[in-house]
Amino acid sequence: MIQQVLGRVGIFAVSLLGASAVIFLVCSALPGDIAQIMLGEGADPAALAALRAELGTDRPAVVRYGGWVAGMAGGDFGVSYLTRTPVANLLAPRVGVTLWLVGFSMGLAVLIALPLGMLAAQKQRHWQGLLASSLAQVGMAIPAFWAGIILVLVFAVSLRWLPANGYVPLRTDPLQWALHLVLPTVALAGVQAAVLVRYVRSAFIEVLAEDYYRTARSIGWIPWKAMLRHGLRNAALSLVTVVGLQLSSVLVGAIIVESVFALPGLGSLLLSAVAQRDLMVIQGTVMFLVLAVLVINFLVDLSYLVIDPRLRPGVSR
Amino acid sequence: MLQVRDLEVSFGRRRVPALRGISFDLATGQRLGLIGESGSGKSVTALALLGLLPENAHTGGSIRLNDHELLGRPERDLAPLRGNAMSMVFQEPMTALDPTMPVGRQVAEVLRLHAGAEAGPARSRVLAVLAEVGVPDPVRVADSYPHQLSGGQRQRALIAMALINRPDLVICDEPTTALDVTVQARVLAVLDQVLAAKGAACLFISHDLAVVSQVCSEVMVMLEGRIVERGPIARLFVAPEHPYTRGLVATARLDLVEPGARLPVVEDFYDRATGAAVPQ
Repeated sequence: MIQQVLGRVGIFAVSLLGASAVIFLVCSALPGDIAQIMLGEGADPAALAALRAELGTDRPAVVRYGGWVAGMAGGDFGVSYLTRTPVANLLAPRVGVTLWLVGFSMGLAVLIALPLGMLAAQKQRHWQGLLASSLAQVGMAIPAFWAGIILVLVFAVSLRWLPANGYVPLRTDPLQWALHLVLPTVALAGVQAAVLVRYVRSAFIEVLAEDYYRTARSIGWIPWKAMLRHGLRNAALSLVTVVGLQLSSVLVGAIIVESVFALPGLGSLLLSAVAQRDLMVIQGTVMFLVLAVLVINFLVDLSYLVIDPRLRPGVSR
Repeated sequence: MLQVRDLEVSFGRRRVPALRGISFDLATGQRLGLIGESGSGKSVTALALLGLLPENAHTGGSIRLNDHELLGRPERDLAPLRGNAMSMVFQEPMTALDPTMPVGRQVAEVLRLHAGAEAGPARSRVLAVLAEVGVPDPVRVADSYPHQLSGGQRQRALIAMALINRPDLVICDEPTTALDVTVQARVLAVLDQVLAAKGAACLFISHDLAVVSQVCSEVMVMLEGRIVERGPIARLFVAPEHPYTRGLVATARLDLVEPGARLPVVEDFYDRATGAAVPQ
């Protein structure tokens, strides 16, 4: 068990290092000189050189990369070119917003998709199943930002039940915090749930054909309970993989939804940094998102060991 | 105890027939073999009795268990009977157990589902019934996951599940086909013992006359969805009436074949196209 976990930690570290190299390369390859942008077109060459030296952009790429990675290892994500604020300080208050949004959305998506997908599998030849599948088809075609706009029009503008945008930190006012997260969470979760329904459906259609499901029925479980009791864990093996993959697309979706709802998360930070060519902030934010995705995949890998006893090392036979 | 009358099963919109009106009775504690080749309708019979046919199946006729009609009853009436009044031992011990749950908990489930037993007493009953079916180390087996056990141990666990609630009827669908020959003999002996101990009636499905003869004294021969012959096994071996049965008996008695001679096949005795006997 420990060996397997250590092996996966190793893969995790190598992926992280590889990702940092790619991110750095892409950002360095971008045209445009930050010093030039900051000082404007006809700037004094001496002032430009001085600014480059101050920002460290005159150093060779390898040195800059080494410095960046070494800094991150110690929790220092560099300093914003424009505001001179440490990137870590920019990230810190925003990480929570994005993580809440992503976590709630994925949780809601699973809560919607699991019963709907199971229904679609169980009643695949009946109208209930066809309805569930069609709902999923329609849901997949709706972009998150459009869903967000419609939700705002209905629930914020017309009905005035929920705030249209903005964010209140949890510590300031838990109720307002929750109310501000409802619409963005629903907007983001809808598409993901629709995608997930299809996977849940096919995973459970497989379960229905399994011998152990038939055994469960033969000892007296009704179909629903047989599916929950003996199907869920077996289906979870393939579903955990899908949810892990979806989480990365939810992170991307969050960038858009955050800007629709004016949430001060990582997405809006990234968008403004791109607009201002603040490379350090871009690098730091993207690196943090990559870290989040890798951590999720790492946890998915570990969850297999928990879910499937056959993967655990030990005496067999 | 069990009366089956004109049981018909067909599948799909085109109503492809699987059972063409079979009738038989089974008395309390009686053991009846059901023999036939793949596709003859043996497993469909078993699933029809339990009410576990796939959704696209159409049924007709009557199945009465302890004077209650089962055919056409809704799921909520049938589920309480399964695992309690009637149970089933399936063919594939390798896949018939949930791979993610310890075997003991799967056996205990049958108890808790019907008797509402608490976890503590359930466990001691589980260990007792595992010992009864000849599991050498019940505690270890109960705490093992299916993949940690051999085929014979898994099949014993499935037999334990089928018998723990003392059902009136146990349907065994080729319970030893997936096991190797030595294990097969031991599992059959155990099955024979526990069926006798619990006084359960048994419908024993197999394609192998020799296997059936170890558990049952009477056998029905099934062909293309019909029962073509029923009788005591001893009589069937000596004087099979239907030409198909004659073929089955010949293929089961390989000890009678001269060394070097061609092995007999059913078609030497029975002409499938015409349904008539082949002149010997």
